[in-house]
Amino acid sequence: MPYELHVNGRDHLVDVDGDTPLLWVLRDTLNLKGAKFSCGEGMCGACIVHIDGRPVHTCRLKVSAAAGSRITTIEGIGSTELGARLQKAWLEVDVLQCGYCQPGQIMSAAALLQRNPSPSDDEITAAMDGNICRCGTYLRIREAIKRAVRGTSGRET
Amino acid sequence: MDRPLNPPELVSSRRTFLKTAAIAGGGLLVTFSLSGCSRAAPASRLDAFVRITPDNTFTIVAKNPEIGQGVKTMLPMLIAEELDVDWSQVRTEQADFDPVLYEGQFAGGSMATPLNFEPMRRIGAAMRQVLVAAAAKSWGVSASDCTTASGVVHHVASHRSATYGSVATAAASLRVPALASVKLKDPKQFRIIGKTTRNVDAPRLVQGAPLFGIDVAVPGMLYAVFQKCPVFGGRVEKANLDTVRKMPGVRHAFVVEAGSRQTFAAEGSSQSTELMPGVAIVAES
Repeated sequence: MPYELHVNGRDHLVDVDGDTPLLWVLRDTLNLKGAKFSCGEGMCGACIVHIDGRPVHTCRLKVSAAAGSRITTIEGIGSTELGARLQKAWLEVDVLQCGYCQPGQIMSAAALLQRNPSPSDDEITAAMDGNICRCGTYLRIREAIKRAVRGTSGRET
Repeated sequence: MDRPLNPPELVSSRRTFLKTAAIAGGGLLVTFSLSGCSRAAPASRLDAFVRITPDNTFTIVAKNPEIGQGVKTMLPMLIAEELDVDWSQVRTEQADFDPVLYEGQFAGGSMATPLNFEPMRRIGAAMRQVLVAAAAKSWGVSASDCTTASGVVHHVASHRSATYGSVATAAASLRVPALASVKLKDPKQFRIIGKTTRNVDAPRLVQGAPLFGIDVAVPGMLYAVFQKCPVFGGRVEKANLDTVRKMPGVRHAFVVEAGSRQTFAAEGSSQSTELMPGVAIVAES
């Protein structure tokens, strides 16, 4: 049946099974491939987007539950000041290796800084705990979040 | 005709010809088509690795598949180093799978660097050599008196210089030297190799660009998934394949015999997402 989705400031009417995970509607119906499928069990964070500003695992969220909410994906977060600052910091710190988990990482980081503009290391660790990176970029992720907090452009390597 | 020629000489063989084509954003794309140069094998077609545009930018191909290990950055670095261009002048491109043009297009075993370190450098050096030869020829000077830097050929004695882009068309009609004969840089001269170079795809990756295998979509594509037997070495006793086949969009469902492991598999096209116990369903979506 049709569901109305508000994604990155645009309205979409999608005609899908209501049990379909939002992730697949975003990826396959709306062609927004930034959120990634990985564990499929809400444990790795690669599929995280914001639903009304909160980070949500879309691999386990039925599209019917997301209808009517304000959805922001990695494709849209860069048009916010905070999202752009995070993406810039990510590049300055040269965070990513393969990059597969990084959309989810950035979305989690953005949600963190939205509710806590200046988190401590422990708060960063706690907030990012649900995002797994097989390349092991965790320390650079933390550095990038702190750089985004400072909002400064730092050293170049 | 197959002796190494250094500097390259002008040949009129119809096997060696210049191709130009319009490219996005305007300008000419100059490619070298060198199928007649048997001694240049296996990289007999330099244009399979480097494309030069008249504005002196260089598209350099990574022949091995990028899977997060960085070859889409690393392999072009090797070519760019010996081509003697600035990394800022380079954009890189993932090669299509083409066993005629490229060798060893695989990822695994951490072999991309050791296997390609010298061959890719030789491709860059060979291209540099024909570009220098083209400039030298147009000036009536010896190629050995010319130098290069940042994609420009210089003849210091006469205060002349020419960008690679400006001599690429002329260079395309020259014979490519045998790759084994080209002179490589002394590692002490390296300006790109050995330097921290950022993942060329990073700016797009942080924006969620569709760069991964799972992001690829082609028209009419079906999705197939399978569910492994939950017990290692177990066998499939029964599967409700008939039920699965009747699900919306499912084209097929079958038991996969895969060595000692047996799997259920299905392929089809539906929005179904509920998995049957022990059976995998596929969606076209």
